Amino acid sequence: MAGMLAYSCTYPFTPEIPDLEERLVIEGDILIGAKTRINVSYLMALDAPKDSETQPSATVYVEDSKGNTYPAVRTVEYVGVHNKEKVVYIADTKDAPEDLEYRLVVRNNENGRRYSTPFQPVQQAPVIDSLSYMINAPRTELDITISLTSPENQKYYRWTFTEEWEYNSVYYADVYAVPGRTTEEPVEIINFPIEGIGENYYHCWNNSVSDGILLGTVEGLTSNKLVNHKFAKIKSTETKLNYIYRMTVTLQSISQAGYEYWSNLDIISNNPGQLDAPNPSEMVGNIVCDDDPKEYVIGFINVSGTSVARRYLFNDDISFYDGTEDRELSGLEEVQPDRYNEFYYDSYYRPVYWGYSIAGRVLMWGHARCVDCRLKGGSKEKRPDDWINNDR
Amino acid sequence: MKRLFSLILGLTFAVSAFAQGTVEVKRVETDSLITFLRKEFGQKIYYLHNERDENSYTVTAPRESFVQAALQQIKDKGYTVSRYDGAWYVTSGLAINSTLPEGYFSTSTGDVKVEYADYLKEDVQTATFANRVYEIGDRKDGRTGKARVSGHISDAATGEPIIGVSVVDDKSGNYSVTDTYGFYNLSMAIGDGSLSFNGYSLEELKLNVIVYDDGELNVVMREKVNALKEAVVSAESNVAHRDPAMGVERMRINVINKVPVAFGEGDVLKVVTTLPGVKSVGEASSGFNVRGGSVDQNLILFNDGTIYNPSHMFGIFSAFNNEVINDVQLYKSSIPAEFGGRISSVLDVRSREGNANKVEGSLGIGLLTSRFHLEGPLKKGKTTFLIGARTTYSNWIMKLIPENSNYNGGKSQFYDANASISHKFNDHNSLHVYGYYSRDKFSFSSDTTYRYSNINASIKWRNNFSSNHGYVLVAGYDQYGNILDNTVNQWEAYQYSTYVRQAYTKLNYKSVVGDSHTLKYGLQGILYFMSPGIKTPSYEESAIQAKDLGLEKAVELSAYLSDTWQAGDKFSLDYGVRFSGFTQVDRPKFYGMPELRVSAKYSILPELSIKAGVNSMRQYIHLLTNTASISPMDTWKLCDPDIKPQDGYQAAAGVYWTVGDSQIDISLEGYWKQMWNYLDYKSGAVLMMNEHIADAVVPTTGMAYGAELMVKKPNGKLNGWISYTYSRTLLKEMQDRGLQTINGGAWYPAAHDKPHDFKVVANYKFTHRYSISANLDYSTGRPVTIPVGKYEYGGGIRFSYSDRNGYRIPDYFRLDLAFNIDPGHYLKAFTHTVITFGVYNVTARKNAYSVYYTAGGGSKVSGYMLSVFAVPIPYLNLNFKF
Repeated sequence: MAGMLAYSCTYPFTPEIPDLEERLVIEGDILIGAKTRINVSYLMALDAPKDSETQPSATVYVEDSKGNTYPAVRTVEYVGVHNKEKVVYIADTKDAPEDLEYRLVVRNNENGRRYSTPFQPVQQAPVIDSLSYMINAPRTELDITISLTSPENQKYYRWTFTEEWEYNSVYYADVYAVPGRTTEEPVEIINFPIEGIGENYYHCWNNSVSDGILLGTVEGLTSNKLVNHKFAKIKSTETKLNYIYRMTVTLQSISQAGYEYWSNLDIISNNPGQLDAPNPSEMVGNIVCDDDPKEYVIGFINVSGTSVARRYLFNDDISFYDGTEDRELSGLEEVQPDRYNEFYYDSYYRPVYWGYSIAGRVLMWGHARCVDCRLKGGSKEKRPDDWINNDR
Repeated sequence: MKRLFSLILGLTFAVSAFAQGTVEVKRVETDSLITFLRKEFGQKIYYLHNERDENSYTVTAPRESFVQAALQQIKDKGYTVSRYDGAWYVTSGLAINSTLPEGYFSTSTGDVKVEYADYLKEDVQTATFANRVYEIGDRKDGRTGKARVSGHISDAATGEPIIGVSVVDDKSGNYSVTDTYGFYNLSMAIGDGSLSFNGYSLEELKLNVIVYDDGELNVVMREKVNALKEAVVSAESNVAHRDPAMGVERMRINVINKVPVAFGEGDVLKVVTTLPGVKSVGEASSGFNVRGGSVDQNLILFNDGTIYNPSHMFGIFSAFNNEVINDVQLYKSSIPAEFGGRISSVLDVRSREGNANKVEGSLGIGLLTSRFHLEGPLKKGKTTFLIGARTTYSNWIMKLIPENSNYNGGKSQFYDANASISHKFNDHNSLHVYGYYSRDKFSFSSDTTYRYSNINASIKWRNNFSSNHGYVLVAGYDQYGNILDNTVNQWEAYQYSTYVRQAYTKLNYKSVVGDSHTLKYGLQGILYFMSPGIKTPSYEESAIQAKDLGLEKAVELSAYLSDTWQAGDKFSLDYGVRFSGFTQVDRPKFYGMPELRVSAKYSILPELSIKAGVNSMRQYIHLLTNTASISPMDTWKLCDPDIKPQDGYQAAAGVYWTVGDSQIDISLEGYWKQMWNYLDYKSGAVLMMNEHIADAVVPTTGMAYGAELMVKKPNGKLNGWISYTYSRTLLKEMQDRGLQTINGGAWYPAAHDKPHDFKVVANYKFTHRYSISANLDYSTGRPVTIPVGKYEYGGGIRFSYSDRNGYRIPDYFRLDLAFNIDPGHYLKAFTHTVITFGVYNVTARKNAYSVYYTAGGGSKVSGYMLSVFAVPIPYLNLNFKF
């Protein structure tokens, strides 16, 4: 009966896409003690491809309450797989004094309109006490936690979260199969290292920057501390904790209004279709068009100090990684040369090493996912420049 | 009075007689002598009082032979005295045969006990048979004009009062509809006449009467057991063409049980939403919307207590156990002056009193719930009890709910319990005590748990101190509370709770003045104790600062007066006024306003009437919500100096036509409604633990208009209704907050604005046992706020949204079918089983509950539709009655 009653679901739905309204989006925060990065763009159509935002030519600067300006330099960056040009305005506010108030001014050179935020004091950066983790009882999930001590009069925080990890395939391959131009041509077996490839595909790195909105507050607490606040999860079946994992949190203090803006953005971004989800409703940020106050501009600019925390985790220490899939696929087969193509194309196997049997030398093959770490999303090229074992 | 005098006289003689060893009574009338035999000698004697009997008896006999001597004298006066099953039957004319001629029931397989004789009570005559003339009032020579006829109507099988029976004086057209206690009262001309009694699924009864003076006539009616094709005028038709009230829908539980609903358990609230003008936001949503009103604008009463959350399990089940419900009455247009406190509608749910004759009960088993009830007399004819309980074993279904709904893998439990005792001191005084408790607990994950509960208790005294005057005094206590436990982070783990508690009293008078006026007047008071929020740390090590937003105490007092003026056959008028006043105790600000209630009816033809009316209403409590569907964590808020009461008025008019040999009722009603100070939420509003809640919400003005066409066939093999409604509900923010103003200050559709609405509820009886039911529901998709564009922000793709409720989800359509097997009529069977099996959403239409968008990995945005019941849901329900 229960099976019969598997009755509810979600379905793809392509509603009529409304006509796009032209709305300016100004993203970024004024970071005191760091560089300020501001992105100016227009709202994209819902069906627009990735990295296809249009950006107006703009003049951007940060101004302090004494009238000093920090001009932002138009900088072109290349993003995405197609290396699309993206313009970012970077102002050097590294040495800007913390005891002044700041505002952002943006002029849209296409229509001459000026946009500005009110002057805001600098929200002091907190001390990150620790980045830590908690593993649940069945050891299937690991929660990443943050603890911090809040400066006086500072209660609201937002942070970005970057994860990088090194993981290994099951087998350290000595040999490599080079496929022919067709599936009929025999697969060629060569030894590592190979020019252009180097060592085998045993070590891989990957990374991820959280696109979630990560917020915390000490408002309503008896203490000025956040202790072991969970904000991210890792499943034991993910490769993240297969070998070495590094997490980096860049935390900035924000104002109460900024916190409310980000909270609402979080609510309307995450599963607005849930049964009890609040009706999505946008908040107006703190950017005003000085030439037409009735123009709606998307964005909220905070003036913040930042602090950064970083930590490595080693699976050897915590034994969290669930290698069930690896074990299931980890059988090795002795394969004779006449069956190389069959194993390569049909069984998705790759050669690992030369072994010896009664019949003599034989090539041992294993499942590609156990041999080539790239098949789990990473690559050797994603190895960070400052990785802990770069001197290995 | 004459009979009472005789009785006293008789007893006086009897007492004096005992002292002498023999028993002697002197010069007593027949009924006094019989009463004496019953009381003194414990004889069970059935006798119908005969006003024309002027016989007088003097009996002297030894104690052991006194009964025989007395009965012999009665025989000598021309009565027939029969004995059957240990009882004496004293009848005029024919004897009562204790056995039937052989072969009388050629197909009979067992004994048939005639129980109606139990109703031949002496104090007030009880009419059960149509083939005789009933005399009402003491005979007074020369009395002319009109008299008041009143009485109680009860069920032949259970002895319970029957609500909603129309009693019509066939000669004058005067009518009355029985109230909660089965009581009716109407004016009749002195002399010969006849009364017609009609009630849904009851055998129609027509009684010949002779009215001498004001008097009482109690009537016993039976469930209709045959004549499926019989053409009868429905009770609804009778009322529709006589009562000036509009938009009043009454449904008995046997109708409710036949309407197919998801999981098969008859559901009061789901059936209410099949009526024209009543909508709900979606399939898994609590509450309902009446003629454009919001969910919090409905006053839901259960035995006079207010139910603040009428749903279990996100609205999949209503909070009412069908086994204890008698009927529900929805007032969506003309709201009687005795009701107030909400500006949209009143849903009055009444439980039964319990079988007055025997103990019986039921056990129901469904896919998700089980229910049980037991009822019966504690003291036969005087005191009855009714208890019921319901619980769920629904956790398995939570695993089937869509993964992305966040309910998947959660846990849900609920139960509710009812208990009531009714005691009848006499025909004029009764006492009723009711209790109700419901509790829900659910969690979406191991670290977040939600709980809410309703508690209601009330005591009611009813007194009819004369046939024309009576009152009901009620005192009670209601409580609704919710609790959220969040233990995601131990350091920040908290418990959040809110509650609303109220103690209330109501004194409702009803007086019949003259031949054509019925006055209703009374006083009502409510003391509110409301906690808008308490937050406490869950653990010792939690750093949550305990916070209490404070207890709000408030008083609401009201007085009302209304008159129903029945100015002849054609015209009648209901007009009344209700004064209500409200203030918080600690932050006093007095709000008060008279509310007007007027409705009139004119009958162009006996079967064609027109009506019109205007209502104004006021509401001193708001529900703060920012979700499409009502969430159990939504908070109630009393008016205070910053938050004004909700006001509303409704003007409506309608045409009512009964056609097809009085088989089909057609009605067309139109309405215009305006509302003020309904609170909508500001963008990004935080409603939980908000000390400055008035800053998080904005008052809106609303307008709603519509037309409702309904074709109803209440009786016959094929019965049910078809309705079509066109309606709009629009809101507009009352403040100018610049860019923040909702939709720039323009009118926008409310979340429940569904212009076209077509519903069919039909039941076809093949035989008395077998029937099929169908339920069809079509409506325009509800308004939603959807993304109009996307942008990169804070490392992810975010959406920019349309104006509030600027788009609509796809139209809604659903067909449900059910097959019902009612119990056979084997009177001796210990249990009777009702079996219902059916399919909800037969066409497997994937109705959208909501639509939403995700930007998978930051690339193309995908639209999704969440469908709550996306496939046909078969169900089976068993109900054992014993």
